[in-house]
Amino acid sequence: MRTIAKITIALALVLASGAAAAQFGGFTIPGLGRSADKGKAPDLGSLLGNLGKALKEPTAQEEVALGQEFAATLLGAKPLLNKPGVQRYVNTLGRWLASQTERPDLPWTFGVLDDGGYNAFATPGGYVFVTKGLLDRMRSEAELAGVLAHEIGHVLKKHHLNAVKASGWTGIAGELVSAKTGDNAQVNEFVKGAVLKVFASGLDQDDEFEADRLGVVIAARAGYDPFGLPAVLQVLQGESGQDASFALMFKTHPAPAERVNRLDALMQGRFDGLPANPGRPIKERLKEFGR
Amino acid sequence: MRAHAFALLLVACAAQAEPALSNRATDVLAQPQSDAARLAALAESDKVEVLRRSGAWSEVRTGAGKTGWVRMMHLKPASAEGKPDVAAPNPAGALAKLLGAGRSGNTATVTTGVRGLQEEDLQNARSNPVEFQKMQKYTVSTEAGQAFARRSSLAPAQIGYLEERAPASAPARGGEMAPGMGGG
Repeated sequence: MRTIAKITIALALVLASGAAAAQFGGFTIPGLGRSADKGKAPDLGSLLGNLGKALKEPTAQEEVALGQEFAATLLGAKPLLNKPGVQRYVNTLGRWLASQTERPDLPWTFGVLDDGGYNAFATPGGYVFVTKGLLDRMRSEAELAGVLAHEIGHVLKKHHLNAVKASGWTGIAGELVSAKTGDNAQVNEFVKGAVLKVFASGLDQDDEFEADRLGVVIAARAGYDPFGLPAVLQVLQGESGQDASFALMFKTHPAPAERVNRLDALMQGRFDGLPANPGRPIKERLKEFGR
Repeated sequence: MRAHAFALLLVACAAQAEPALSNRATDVLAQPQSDAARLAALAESDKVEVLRRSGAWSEVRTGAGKTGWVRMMHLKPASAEGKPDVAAPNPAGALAKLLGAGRSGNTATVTTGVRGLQEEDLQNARSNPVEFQKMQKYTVSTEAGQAFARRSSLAPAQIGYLEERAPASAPARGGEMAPGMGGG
């Protein structure tokens, strides 16, 4: 009963204004919260227009709110590595990479999960994770930049958002922005299913290939050797999905050899003239960023 | 302890040549550039030792003892031998996905190596808002990212995104499109 009333109010708010004041976690998303005319009743035309929009394209505010729920759930499976210096380093590198894209103003946040496995994840709205196992196996900063840039590519193209939008999205869209993270049973139920869908079953293979294409370019734009990501994929060619530390990653991604071959066909000699900057050794960075 | 592990890893990378195989017929060149003199030719699946990598190129020592540069994308690690090049890595998983079921029994029996985050962990996960708040504290500003780039001599470059091409179509000749073209 209370829930129904809450949903109705939330939906009404979304329909009437398109967006409430866009604030979460200290970030404001440009372009949101513009709708003035508070006391006025919306005319039917704009209401229907907003309804169509709400059903089709989630707002950036909703995208970020959903990403926060995804991130909180992932952190429920594995906590952060308790090394503030490592977390600061990955956030700084990640932010520099993200600022080379067409969505520099998302609340980009990066985390290293305390997990010995080898994997990386992204959520809608700019929350990106790598595992400690992956970080330990990076042979250069350019490789790490390539992995982070691949994840950033997923966020840019809203791959995860699009993958879960169809499954009951409109029922929770309004709830998302009004509820506190992890505090709403209906949202939690949706997020649980969505997280399993995108992180356990994986995205479409075409989305992975697209993130690879974006990843090499974003790393290169940031001044890194664009062959960092291909080098990581080559390492994976020598690994196996039968190894438990790689199992989930192999299950949810195309064969690494095919990823390398597709990048090779597109990159050809195009990137040969760029500086082959491997970045600083990660060991040096961890000293630089402290404990 | 952690720093120690990193140090070991770095030493291993610097000191050891890594065994690799050519993934196609390719040339060994005197310099890491496509117009350099040809020192040797590799057939597909020839074994080499990778001494180092620089951008698009890897310096290798051939079985015949010649040292030169090969396109890094024309190599694969020796441990990749016999692994499928294109097929789905996990047909059972692909089928399960097709049927809309989220699980494949395949990974459950794996016991070797470090056990990484698995599907069960995600199934059992409860939202952890406290840990999420902790994560948000590490967020840095765009300016902090730019300062990092400046002190690291990372020069930003204008490079257009790579456009998707149907896998069947013939690849364009290399060098036709200079980085920086295409916008993005």
